[in-house]
Amino acid sequence: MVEIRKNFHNDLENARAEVIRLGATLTEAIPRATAILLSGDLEGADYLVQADDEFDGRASMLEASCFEILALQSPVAADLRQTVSIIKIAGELERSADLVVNICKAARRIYGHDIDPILRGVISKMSEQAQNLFAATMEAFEENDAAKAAAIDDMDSYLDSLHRQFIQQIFESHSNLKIDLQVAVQLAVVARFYERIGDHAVNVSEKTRFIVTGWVRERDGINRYKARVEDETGETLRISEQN
Amino acid sequence: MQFFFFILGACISALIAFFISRRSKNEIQTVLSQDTSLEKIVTEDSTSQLMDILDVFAIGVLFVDSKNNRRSKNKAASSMTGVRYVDILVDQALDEMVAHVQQLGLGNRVFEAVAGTTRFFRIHGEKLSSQSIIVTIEDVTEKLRIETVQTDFVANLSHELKTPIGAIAALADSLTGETETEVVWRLAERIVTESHRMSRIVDDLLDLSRLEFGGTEDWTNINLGHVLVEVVSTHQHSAKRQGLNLSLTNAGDFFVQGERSQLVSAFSNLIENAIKYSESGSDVSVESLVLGNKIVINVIDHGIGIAEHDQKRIFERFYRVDKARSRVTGGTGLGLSIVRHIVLEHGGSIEVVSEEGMGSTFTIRLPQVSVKPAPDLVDDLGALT
Repeated sequence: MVEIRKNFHNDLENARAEVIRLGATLTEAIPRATAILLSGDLEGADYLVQADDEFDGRASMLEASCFEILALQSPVAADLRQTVSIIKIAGELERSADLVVNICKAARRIYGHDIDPILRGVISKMSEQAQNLFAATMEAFEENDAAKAAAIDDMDSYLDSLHRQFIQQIFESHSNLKIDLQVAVQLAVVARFYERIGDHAVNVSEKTRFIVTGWVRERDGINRYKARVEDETGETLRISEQN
Repeated sequence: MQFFFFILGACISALIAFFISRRSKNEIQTVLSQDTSLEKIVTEDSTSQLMDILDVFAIGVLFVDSKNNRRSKNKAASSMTGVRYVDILVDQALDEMVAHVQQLGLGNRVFEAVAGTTRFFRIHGEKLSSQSIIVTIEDVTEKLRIETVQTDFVANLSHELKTPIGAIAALADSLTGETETEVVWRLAERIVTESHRMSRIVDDLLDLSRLEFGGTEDWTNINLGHVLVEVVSTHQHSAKRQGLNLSLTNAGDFFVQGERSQLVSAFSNLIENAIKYSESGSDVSVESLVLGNKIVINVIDHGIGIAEHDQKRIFERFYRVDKARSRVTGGTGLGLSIVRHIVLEHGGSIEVVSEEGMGSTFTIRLPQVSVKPAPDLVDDLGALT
């Protein structure tokens, strides 16, 4: 087959490749930030905080390139889903990278304080799970694997349970006088960062499902809302039916 | 008239010459173009052949052909770590190096990435005389690790020896001007403590070097079950004092080839550590079992655990996880290093699984001797009972 819109597909391929590279950078930064947090490595924290500027720049250039594709190439069907989703994924990746930076900043704030070994153990586990989530999410995106993308949500619930376990452990450590209130609060926030990173991974995997199958997560909610309005008012809402 | 014929002849010959030259030019061109395509085929072929050969090596090679800008990679370069996202980052670093070399002709950098553990890669790029670019990438993690171990060892050794020597010198100095008996007595006592500490370090070092060059001449069949019972019972007292429950399970009769005193010292070291890093009220257990032709001994504690990045280094001489704490607990910093040497010397292996706050499990595997113990040893044991 003769490729008619070679430039267009090249642009789209490049955008995809950049998503994969940004995803890899992010996945690698998660254990790095955790090591910085657990070892109190201020120099490493500075390095990661600064590296985020480049990440932000690349993410916004990625978005710009997608806008250009939309404006100049008028993609349709799968190509359109892809382009629009990459714009959203760029945002998710950028936000997740910010959360990694936040972990580094927390490392600065609790510098010099000892962390209870049990809490350190749970932090390591949360970091590992967040990293696994993003690695699997990016693999699903790269391979256009909707089934793998659908499994990410289940992986995230383990991270959520670790988060709950961690918060409980903070209370316990604090009541055993093993941890300062100040450190306890900082760590609770850090745990939240990991949990949020997991949520962003789930969002990215939902976009992957949308690219491959056109599936929309909010469908159930929209349909429930339509049914409710119809029940109450007898009117039919003009929201397009989702597949 | 003659002149006219001459002009006509000249014109015709010029025309003929022109056509001949054009034809030959065409021919030459076709031959030439054939040649270049041939050359292209040859270079492409030889590049892919070369890449096939380079696939054997652990060093990654990326070759950018100047003629067609084609990139070829050997196997190692396309999958340096086997971890997908790190390979993507490695790819990106290689691309950056190609861009760098295109501008400057030469490049060198060390690239760091976390794939489970932190890995270091040395990337080297060079422009060849044919304007093609070659970039190599090598995993130098192990090389750098060995370098750090060596420099750390020298630094730590001098530090460990200097501390007691400095203390002894200062104490002796104050002793010379002291007349009060009680103070003299106290200073002398501290000198003794410090010199004991130093001699312990030197003893451990000697043990280590003996192990490193040790022979196996005086090895006998040893009942490891008995060794474990002995070691556990000698440590019961200190475990009780710390409020710990030290237990031993499955101490059957397993035999290994080796030296009894060394094995006792190895297990003592592990159990001492387990006791040292546990909190009162928790359990320390020693388990032994036979898997195939190996005896597996687990020393399990539920203490503070060891951080992941420390786990790989704790078997190094003088490596300390928590510098302040070990000085207080009085270790020499050589214990685990000695344990590892003893286990390796006995043909076994040692590994640690640990989670911070959950505790550590040290697992030793030793080859079991299938033959029955020598008759004289049985007699000895018989006489003992």
